[in-house]
Amino acid sequence: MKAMLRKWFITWLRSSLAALLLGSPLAWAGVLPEDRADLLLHQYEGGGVTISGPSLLVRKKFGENLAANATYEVDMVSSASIDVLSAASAYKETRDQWSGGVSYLRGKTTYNVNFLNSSEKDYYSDNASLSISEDMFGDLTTVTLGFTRGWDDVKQRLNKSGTQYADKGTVDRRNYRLGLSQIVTRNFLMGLNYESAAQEGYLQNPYRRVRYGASNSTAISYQNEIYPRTRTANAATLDGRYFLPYRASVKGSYRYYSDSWGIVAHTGELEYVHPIKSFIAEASVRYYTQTRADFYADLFPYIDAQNFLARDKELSTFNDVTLHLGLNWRRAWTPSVSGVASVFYDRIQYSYQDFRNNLPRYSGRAPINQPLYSYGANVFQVQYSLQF
Amino acid sequence: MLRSLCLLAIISSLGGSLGACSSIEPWVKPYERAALADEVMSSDRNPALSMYGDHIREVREGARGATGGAGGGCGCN
Repeated sequence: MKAMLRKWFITWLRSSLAALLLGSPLAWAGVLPEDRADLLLHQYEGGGVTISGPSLLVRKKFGENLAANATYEVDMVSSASIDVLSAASAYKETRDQWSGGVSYLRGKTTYNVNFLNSSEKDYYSDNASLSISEDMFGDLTTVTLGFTRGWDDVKQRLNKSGTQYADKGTVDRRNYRLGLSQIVTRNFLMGLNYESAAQEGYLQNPYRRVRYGASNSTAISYQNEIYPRTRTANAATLDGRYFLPYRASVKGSYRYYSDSWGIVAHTGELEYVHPIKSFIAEASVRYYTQTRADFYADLFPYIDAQNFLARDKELSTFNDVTLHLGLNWRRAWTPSVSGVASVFYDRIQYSYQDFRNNLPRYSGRAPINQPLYSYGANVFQVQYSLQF
Repeated sequence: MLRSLCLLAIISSLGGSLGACSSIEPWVKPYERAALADEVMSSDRNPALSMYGDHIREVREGARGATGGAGGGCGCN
């Protein structure tokens, strides 16, 4: 019986893998994304942090069934954020990120394999992704299933010059994704995306500290953060885009997120896209709000007050609002080659509800007399995209 | 590795099975999809911009994922 089950399982596995490699025999033709080369220059300024650099993206088809993509991004970081100033001194660093992938189209099924590497002197990460998309029901529905595995190495810089680093630990990440895109009417598209993520390992920031003491006293002490070694999260997004009768579109989306650290977040976004001659203007508003992690506090009463301790403002109760404006100008160079020049501006306003401002100008006050922290960020981006 | 292969095999089997449903009559015919194919309806107009936007948000917010991209994040701090 056991041998029979084993034989059946091996036969099933073989036939399924053959289907994976060869595609569905019932499938018709699908389409791979268009060829393009994009150069994006970006700059983020806010909360004492400046990040700038280029991003490059290239997609190229080889025949009707095969396409490759590659991206490269550099972040030059100059940081004097509230986290840094309350625990260490300002620093500069560079993050390099590159990715490469291949898409293979067989009938109505598209197989994607991608690899991504991100490296900083104190953080190194590799990601491998697989996904399968299938067009069905007369191409009205597209279902996508995906899996990403990530491996991170975390280090701590030991001196200001950045010549010595200590290994702090590793992180193992797994993400599972399910996407559904649906044509509802001749003017209306809907999408549903679900993602489940699991992380295990050294999940804290080695530089950040929590503070403890009495809230009405200036005698404040600090100790290192202690995070759980596991985190599981679930997120689901529902969106819809509608084509307006005068050739413009409006999009609405909502995302629900919750994780095992106690964070529950809601995100809502509205976008409007409007063409004007050879320009396309875009504007969007995004609102994000979250509750704090169970083990977060702005101030703990005494040392080792609980098993896990965090004072990361990204784990506090807060909300942010983003206003995005963009203008794209298309010019055709030949009948099959065109270029799109774009400029984008984002204004992001962060408001924290249980994270107090202990920057040097307020550090002489007792925590209860420190104002709640908030800041605004500006993001400028220019891009040129060659599409062929 | 074996678990991942099994998962892919299941996904592929489902894909192959659901492909058989493609004989369902589409209620929006291919020649009625001009508006849906218009550039203003594309969610992939500026992929480099979307990737960078996701990165900004992942670093500064507690929540992440389900954005329709490759997922998994950059694993950066």
